[in-house]
Amino acid sequence: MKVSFKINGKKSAVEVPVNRTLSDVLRTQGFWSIKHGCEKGSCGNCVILFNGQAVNSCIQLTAQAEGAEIETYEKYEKSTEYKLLQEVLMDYVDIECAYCVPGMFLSLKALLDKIPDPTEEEIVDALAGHICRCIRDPLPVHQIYDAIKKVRGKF
Amino acid sequence: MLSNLKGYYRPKSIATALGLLDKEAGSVLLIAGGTKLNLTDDPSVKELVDITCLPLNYIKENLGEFRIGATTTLQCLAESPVLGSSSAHIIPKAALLSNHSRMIRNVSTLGGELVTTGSLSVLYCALITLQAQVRIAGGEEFALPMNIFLDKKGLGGGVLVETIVPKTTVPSYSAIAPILNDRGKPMLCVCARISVKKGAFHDTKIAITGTAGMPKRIRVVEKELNGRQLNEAIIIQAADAAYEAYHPATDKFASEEYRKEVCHLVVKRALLDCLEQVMEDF
Repeated sequence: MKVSFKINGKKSAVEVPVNRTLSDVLRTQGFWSIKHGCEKGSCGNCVILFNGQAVNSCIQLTAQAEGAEIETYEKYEKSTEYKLLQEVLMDYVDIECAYCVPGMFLSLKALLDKIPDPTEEEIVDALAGHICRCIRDPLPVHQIYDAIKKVRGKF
Repeated sequence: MLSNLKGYYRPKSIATALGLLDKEAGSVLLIAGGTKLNLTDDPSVKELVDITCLPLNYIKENLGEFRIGATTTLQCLAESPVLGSSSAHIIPKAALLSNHSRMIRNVSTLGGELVTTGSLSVLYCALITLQAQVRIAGGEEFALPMNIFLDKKGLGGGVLVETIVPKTTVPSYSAIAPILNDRGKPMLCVCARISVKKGAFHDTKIAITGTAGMPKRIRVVEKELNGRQLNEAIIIQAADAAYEAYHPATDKFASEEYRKEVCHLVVKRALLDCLEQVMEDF
């Protein structure tokens, strides 16, 4: 079936079998920041912004994206506007392999778009559902909170 | 993932959705968020009817009730200021407890949660406590009390349209008391709602989920409380009654005795929370 959506601001149309997941299809389109992980919505490695909300693309059918606005990490990887948020994750959190960073970044971006001054609890909630295999649980939310406090107002 | 899936439809009206459903039994399924269905590989599913385009994403407050559309997401419920500031504030809390991942809550819908629920559903437990009804469209529209819907668990080819949560005519207070595992997932949960009339418990409703079987009311506690003066001692008596009346199974996760103890604890905790709200009000 033919599915049309906007991805990172550009119109796109794909012809896909009806049972293909969105993560599969977007990766074949070259959006490699979407990672394969658990494939059941538990690890957060495949997170995208779907109409502004963080969702797991591994449990979304491509057909469900008809007319949607999708954003992936590729949109922001070179953006100076979000450099600070990337630094929060890479420098402050001491992540080793960065496999989980795109998903976490998008979840934090969705949170900061909605709540520019989040509490530690709100950060915990936004990052629940993300698994970092390097640092394991619990995620260093306090460090992320401190880092966000330092750069507050600059996103 | 749904290896025999051949068709996908996005109807714009309930009538069209019902028409699409009226095919070979079991081969056409409804989908809204799809967080549960998309994980299965049920070979009998051949077509999906996606109802996210239907105008069922709302939380409305009317004179005597709240109306919640079936495609309202769990995250919308969790963030609802209308529900959060009312005596139905256990619904947002239950929505938050339904899944710890915000990414899932952004997609999962109330309708999907109710239709696919298993033996542990905090939302169901909250809605039973609040005496909610579900409205089902399919031929004639009709409303069903939540507990009957739970027992029937079949929509008979219809579409769950909305959930109606009635308001009480006297001041009422509700609370939710979960026992969480180390991942923040509820293992057992009690929801309670009490009303106050002349300083006494009135129209108390209390339900439990996470035990063997579906979520259910604890009527022995309701009976113990109704008509009696509000105080902590009466609440402890009611929790004792729950302990005596409750006979859960022993399995690999917990013994009967442990479950009875936990039930006693959460019943007490939920009711004391309600009592604390009453005290704050007066």
